Amino acid sequence: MKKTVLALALALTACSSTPDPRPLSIPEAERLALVRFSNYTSGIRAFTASVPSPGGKLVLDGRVDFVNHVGYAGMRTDGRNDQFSQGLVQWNPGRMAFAMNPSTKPVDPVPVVDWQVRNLQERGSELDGALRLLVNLGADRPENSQLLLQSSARWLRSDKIGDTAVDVFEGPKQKDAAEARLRYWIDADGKLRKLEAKLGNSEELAVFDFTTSKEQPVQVIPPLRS
Amino acid sequence: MLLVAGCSSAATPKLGPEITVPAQLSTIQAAVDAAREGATIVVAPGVYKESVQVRTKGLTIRGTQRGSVIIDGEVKRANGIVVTAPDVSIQNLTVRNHTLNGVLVTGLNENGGMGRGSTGYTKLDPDKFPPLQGFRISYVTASNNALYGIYAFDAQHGVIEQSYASGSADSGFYVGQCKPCDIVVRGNVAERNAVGYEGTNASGQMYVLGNRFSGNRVGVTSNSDYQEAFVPQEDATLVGNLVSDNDEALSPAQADGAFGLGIGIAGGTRNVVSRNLVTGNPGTGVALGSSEDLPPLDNRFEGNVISHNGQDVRYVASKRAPGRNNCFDGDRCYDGAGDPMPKPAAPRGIPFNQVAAPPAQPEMPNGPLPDKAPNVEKYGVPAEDLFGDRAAVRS
Repeated sequence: MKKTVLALALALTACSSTPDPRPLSIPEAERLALVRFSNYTSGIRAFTASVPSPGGKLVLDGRVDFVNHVGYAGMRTDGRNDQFSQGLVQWNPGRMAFAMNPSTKPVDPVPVVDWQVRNLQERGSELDGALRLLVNLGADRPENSQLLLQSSARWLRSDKIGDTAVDVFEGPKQKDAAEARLRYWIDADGKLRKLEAKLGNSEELAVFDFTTSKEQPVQVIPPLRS
Repeated sequence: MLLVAGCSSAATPKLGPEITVPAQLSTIQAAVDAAREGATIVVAPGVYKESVQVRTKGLTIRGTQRGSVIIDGEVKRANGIVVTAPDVSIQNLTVRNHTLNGVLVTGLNENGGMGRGSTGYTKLDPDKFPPLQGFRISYVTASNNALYGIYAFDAQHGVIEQSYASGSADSGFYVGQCKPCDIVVRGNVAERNAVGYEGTNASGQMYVLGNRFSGNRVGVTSNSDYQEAFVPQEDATLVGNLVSDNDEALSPAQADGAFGLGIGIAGGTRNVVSRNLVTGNPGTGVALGSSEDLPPLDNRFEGNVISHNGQDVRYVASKRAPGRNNCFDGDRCYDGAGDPMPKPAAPRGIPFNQVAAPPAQPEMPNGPLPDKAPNVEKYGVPAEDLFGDRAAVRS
């Protein structure tokens, strides 16, 4: 019975020019299962991010250490250039630190300034959700591809990032959720090139672009150590 | 056209009794698909970059050289060999670098079998997928696999023997979800894994005999898990094993952060733990506790040598599920609740694919394999160097 339905779906999609989203194949599930492990293996990657927030779109440019789960970025508010709208941010899965600074990129060595430190909120803040998501994108082992196969995760379409061919996947829905919150752009080696996330209650998506590996380590500021 | 092709392929005579790879057919999977029931597939040295699905009863896949007949997942493919047919034997070869398991044996034949745990887990329905009947894994080396080295669940009447597992981010050997199991795990070596051997909801005629579980983060666990079928775990027999020095830093991290533990039993009933040598585990030699609302009941520990561990025995049953009648050598018994298990300091792990390659392992001898019977009585307390010649981590 199940086979008939699947065959029908295939026959239908074959007629249209752009294929519809479909369940994962086994190699696709294996590739999606590797995303966080591949980040872990890379160690540190540079990223840029655009995160919607009630005060305006936040733009981040920095790097994440997926092994030590710590990030460091310059942050500014799109369309503003006053001193309160930009600064440096460092964070780990539990806490973030902010210091006003005119740079839009991380400053190294990390300046000795007065960092404001606070706990990341569990919900409600798009920025906090984005920061937590970033440092949790690394794991020392792959996900279970067989569980992914059985989840709602889907292949959405083919795409290109620069000259690199990628596939766009929708991640699995969280339990009882109406829709999936994450979309992954993944190259042939299972490396994450871009991520879109629905954070908090925002209708607008946060967008993360990942570029180079082999970035210099993040010098963690004292309040975030331990 | 398609119809014709379908008919003619069905009519093709199957090959056997012996098929050679790559001489006759270039891949192991091609040989498996062409083989008739009961055939033997003899595989010559080479690195085989394929995932092998065995769906034909009674096949034997045998490598001609254990260390150089290699099924390599290249840290891309999920499983090395998946067996979903009865009475299959896997012998004398290496499975490495898989993102799930080296060898998986299961009656769950949908989607090529399923791993356990994590969010989204659908509980096995044993009525829909009855247990696979009969398997034998002999002289297999399983290294650097991300979940389990050698894994059997929803399967009965099997043997896992003379095999070696290292670099598993979960356990080297895993038997789960069988009742009664009628499974013997004997003469194996597990080192540099998060856990050496794990038996979850593996109950009845479940024998773990004369193995070396040394140099992992945790040596052995036997537990009950509500995420899986056949709760609670009961009636396993652990005899004559060496469980030592399970404090290996150069291994993948254990998911719960455990480290330095020899034998852990959680929510188990009527297990028999005898004549094991449990030593040099810096946290706890033997820990006996509850699992959710399942208490440890009527477990027997007899004639073991448990010494030179951080703490030799720790009774950690919870107030929610206090235990009863857990006795060491018939006189020292534990009932009720114990103290909570302390959380050990654990060194950061290394990724499974960076764990050192296994040392040379013995070839499967010519001639018939020994009888499947467990013969529990022939296992005494092992020497401290049991299978030292097959292990890289020294005591």
